[in-house]
Amino acid sequence: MVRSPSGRLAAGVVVTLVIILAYAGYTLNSVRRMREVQTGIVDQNRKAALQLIRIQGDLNALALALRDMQDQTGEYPLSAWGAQLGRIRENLDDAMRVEAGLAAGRRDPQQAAYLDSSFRQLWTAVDRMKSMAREQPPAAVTAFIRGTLEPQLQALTSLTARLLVQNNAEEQRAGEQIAGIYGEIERNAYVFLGISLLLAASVSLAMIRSNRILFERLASLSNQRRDLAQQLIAAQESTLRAVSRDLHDEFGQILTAVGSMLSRAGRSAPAAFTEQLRETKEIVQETLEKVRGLSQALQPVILEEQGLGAAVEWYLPVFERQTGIAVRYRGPAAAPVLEPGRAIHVFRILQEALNNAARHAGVNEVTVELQDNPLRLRVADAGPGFAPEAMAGKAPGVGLAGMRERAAILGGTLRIESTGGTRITLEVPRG
Amino acid sequence: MTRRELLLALAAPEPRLQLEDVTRAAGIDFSHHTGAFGARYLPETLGPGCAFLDYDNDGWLDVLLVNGQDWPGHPRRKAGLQLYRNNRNGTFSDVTRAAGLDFSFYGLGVAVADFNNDGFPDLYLTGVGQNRLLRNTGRGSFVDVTAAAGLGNRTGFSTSAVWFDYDRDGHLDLFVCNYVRWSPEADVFCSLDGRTKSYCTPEAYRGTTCWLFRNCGNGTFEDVTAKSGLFDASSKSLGVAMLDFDQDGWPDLFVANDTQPNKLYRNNRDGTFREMAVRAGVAFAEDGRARAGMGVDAGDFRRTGREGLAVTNFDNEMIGLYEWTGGGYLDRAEETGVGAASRKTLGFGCLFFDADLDGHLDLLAVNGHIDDSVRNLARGPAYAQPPHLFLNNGQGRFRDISTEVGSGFRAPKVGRGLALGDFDRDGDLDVLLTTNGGPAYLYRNDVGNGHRSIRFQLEGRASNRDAIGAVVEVEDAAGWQMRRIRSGSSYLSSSMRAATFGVGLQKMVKRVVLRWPNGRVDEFPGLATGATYHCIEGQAPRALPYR
Repeated sequence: MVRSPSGRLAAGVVVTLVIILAYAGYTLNSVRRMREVQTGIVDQNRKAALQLIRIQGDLNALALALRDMQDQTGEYPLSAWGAQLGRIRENLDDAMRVEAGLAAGRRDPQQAAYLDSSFRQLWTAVDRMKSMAREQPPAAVTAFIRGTLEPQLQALTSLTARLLVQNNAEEQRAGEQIAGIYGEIERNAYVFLGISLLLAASVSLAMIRSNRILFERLASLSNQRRDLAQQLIAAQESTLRAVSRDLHDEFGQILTAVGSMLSRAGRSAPAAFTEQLRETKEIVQETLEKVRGLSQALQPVILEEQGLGAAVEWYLPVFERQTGIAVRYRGPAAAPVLEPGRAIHVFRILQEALNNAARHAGVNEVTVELQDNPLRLRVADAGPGFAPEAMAGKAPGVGLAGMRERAAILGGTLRIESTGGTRITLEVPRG
Repeated sequence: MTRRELLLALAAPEPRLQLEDVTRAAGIDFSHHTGAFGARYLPETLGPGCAFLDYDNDGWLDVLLVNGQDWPGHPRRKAGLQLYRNNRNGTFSDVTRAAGLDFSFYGLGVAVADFNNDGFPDLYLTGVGQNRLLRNTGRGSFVDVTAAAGLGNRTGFSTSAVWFDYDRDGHLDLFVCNYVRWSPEADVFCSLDGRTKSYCTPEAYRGTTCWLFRNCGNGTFEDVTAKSGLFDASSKSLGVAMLDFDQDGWPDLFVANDTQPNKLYRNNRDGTFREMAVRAGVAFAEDGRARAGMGVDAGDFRRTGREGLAVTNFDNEMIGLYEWTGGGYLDRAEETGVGAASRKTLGFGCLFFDADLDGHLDLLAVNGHIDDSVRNLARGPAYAQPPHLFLNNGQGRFRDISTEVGSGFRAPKVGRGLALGDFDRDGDLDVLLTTNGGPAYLYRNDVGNGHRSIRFQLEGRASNRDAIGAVVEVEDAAGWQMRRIRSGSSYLSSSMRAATFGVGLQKMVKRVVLRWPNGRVDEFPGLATGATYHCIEGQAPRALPYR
């Protein structure tokens, strides 16, 4: 008993699918992690960096405005800068607010508090400077700018620069983290590739091995079946031959003897029995003829005694009489020389083909062609034929199978064509 | 060119307009003098401006061309601004001397308006040093009233200027852009090749505030720069346009700054302004950088009733084409096709106008680099560059047709100033442009598709006489169009004041609404096209044939 490989193959496929799914899951997870790092850290950092640059720009604009105030040539009073300083503050406050939101949770609370208090001090000083500009001489204002505002501004500029550096460092770390994830994915891709190749090779080898075993087993079974079929045919022929001989030799001689005895009895019997004896002798004679006919049908003696050609020519009229189907026969120029053990198979194929025509074709005429050297027998009718698909799903007919087996015993081929009538052709190569 | 652009170009109808170079035939012979002698002073790269104006009130547009002069101690040649009088036959005569304009002055720009409401256009000339206010005498000449008007003793590096009535008192006030703090003594050495001096970009210099002068109504002006909240010492301003972006009937200002954030000043209706550019989305480019804004114009190029903005910038910065979208402006340059086409050009003067009179505002921009030494750079931008004429298809796309309107127009130029006006009175708008260190060009627009126009020449009574700030709305079969009566816009230049509407083949418009600067609204039904309508505030319009 050979075990089916389907289970193991299915298991291989399942394992492969599981690995692919696992790898896909792993890859998706890695991509998600990368996206998180990218959006959570890198993008946030970039946005924060943009805001820090904006803050730097505003601080720079404030520094330039303060410088312009000190350099002013008298065209405008210092109070004129109020609107410009207000716009800078508005923009700076907005940038600070956005930046604080982006840095939330990542900034040291002490640093955040320091930043906040520094800006508050700066704006307090700016407000004081603006009121001084309205009330006090320019010299006092510029002294305040130089002594108080500019140092505060410088401190804030330095603090912003440090924040930018920190931001860049965080971005660099995030970049390294992403590079690490990429490296991990790359390594695992190679592992996955190796495992996949190994699995594919194992499954393929298992399939090759299973196929080989299956084919060997099939070939063996086929040979066994053929041997069995041929033995069956041989046994059948042997039996038929024995029955035929028994019928011909034993029953024939008994009936012949009974007939002779009845003839003798009739000559010496009273006249009252003469008629009954004659009728009995006629019955015996009919029985003898039937026994001889049956014997011929089972195993035509003519085949052994006169060969295939004569047997065919004897059988065809019998077929015509039995079925009412006319047979157009084209025989060979010279009688085929074929030893009786082989000729019986040709004869049986002829019988089977004709019987099939009689049973299924519904025709009034069949054509039989016999050629010799190489031997070729063809039985054709103009019936509806049969579609090969009509045979699909059905067990092949015993008759057809038998014909094929006999053709195989002869070492020949049997071709069955079924479109536009049925044509059964036996060809046996030259021996 | 992308495949889509190619298909659109192939599918686009042939433009039916030609811009014919009539400079020589018109008798205009002008050459801009930068005063350059090798020191490569920054102001040499900026001028000059130009103007269409009817200085003699004869109904025919005259031409004014601003000029530079020699730098002190470096005489090269005599040069000065030139005024050409329209001879009403396609030619002009130089009347500079007769008009009293043959004085020496390092000029850059000009703003034209009737500041004293006497019915004659006056001039404000900007430049390096002392700007000039020139009052039109009404007798074909101008007199310098700078000092008398209280605008003297004030030196600067002034560029574009705009007349507008910010306080709606009926007297035109004056906003003046200033560029940077520069003087020959403070000139900075810059170099493109590391050996020879090149022209510096404005980053090398500190900014300076623009000026706002309130017209007191008695011939004098008051400096309200600080009081109005417009004072800003960081700006490096080159272009200015008046608009009413919040549609409250009070004029606002957009100021194009070079390498500094642009400014959008909202009129608070109380004599002060609030700066809104960042909030409105026009301060910076999409990437957050300040671009090199040069020229600017405002116009309803989508026919939505809201004014959009066009701002020319440096090469690799594209024109900014802003559309109002409710909460602010969005730069539509990329999706309209203007961005890609203008990426490699350095733009200056720019104006919206309906070039082919089909009812949609087109966009004209003149280009040219600031530094002739870019010619020495491998793969660098060209010094002389062709102008752009973007034809609006009315469906949100613009196509540059500058190659299809006449060979001379497309020729590369070092373009600067740009003004529009109908000097031949045929109903379409002609083009006047100036080049840095080169000639001025007059292009006659010949619209050949049978398209018609309708024009409105407004005259204020309670409002300022030039009706600057008024809005004209025209309803035709395709819906509403609007134009604002304005001075300024473009770059250093001043255009025809009357509002011209293209109406396609329509012989009539359904309705016209005039919204005067002081809030009055006049409405007129069913006017025939093909004429100029002289509209006096509160009176019925009077039709005047184009010729």
